[in-house]
Amino acid sequence: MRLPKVATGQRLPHKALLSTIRLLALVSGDPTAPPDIMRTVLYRPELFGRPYSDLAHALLRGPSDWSVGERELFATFVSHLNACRF
Amino acid sequence: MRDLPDPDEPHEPHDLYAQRWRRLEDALLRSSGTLDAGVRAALTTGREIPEPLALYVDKVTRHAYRVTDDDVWALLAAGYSQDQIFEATLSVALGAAQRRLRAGLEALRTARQGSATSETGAAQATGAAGEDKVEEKE
Repeated sequence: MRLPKVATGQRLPHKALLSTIRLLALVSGDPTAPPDIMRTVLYRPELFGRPYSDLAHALLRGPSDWSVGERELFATFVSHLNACRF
Repeated sequence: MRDLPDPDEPHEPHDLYAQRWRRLEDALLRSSGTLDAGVRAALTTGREIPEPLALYVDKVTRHAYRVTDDDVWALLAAGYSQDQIFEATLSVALGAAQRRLRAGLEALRTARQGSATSETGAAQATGAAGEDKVEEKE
């Protein structure tokens, strides 16, 4: 994460949540957690995170002709093309 | 293989997505932000980008994985705040996503038209073969 404000969080509950995840990640041996997408979604959630999560949830878990597994596979494939790990 | 879905068919899930997409656009582009709403709108189209942002916008649009610390520092050095860079990045990403979605839906329309044409063609071919058989009988 290149923007320090987004990396550490802006509001106290988010800072606390990110710190807790970081601590749990250290204990479990994964120093990369929490993932940057989570930091992005938590930073100023009224601007992006809340409506974005709402859309993503509808797309991936909402009613659809495609199964959840198929949709996750589409998402993974697109992320792979974008050289993105998520 | 399942039939290609019709991108224009107005059924519930699509409306659900359209509604949520609009809410995301409203929040990101039309809410009060640190970056002027006009600039955020321009960033989604990729046109008339203020100069210090142009290179960054191009990278995020075409290959976001090539963005480096230097790109972000250059914007900070040019006087953009972290919040402005945050808003700019998401606005550009939303525009890029929208163009890819449109291209995908357009490809789906073309593919459906193609398969509809080939079905008609196949029917005509069958019809022609049937006529040949009739002629043979005569």
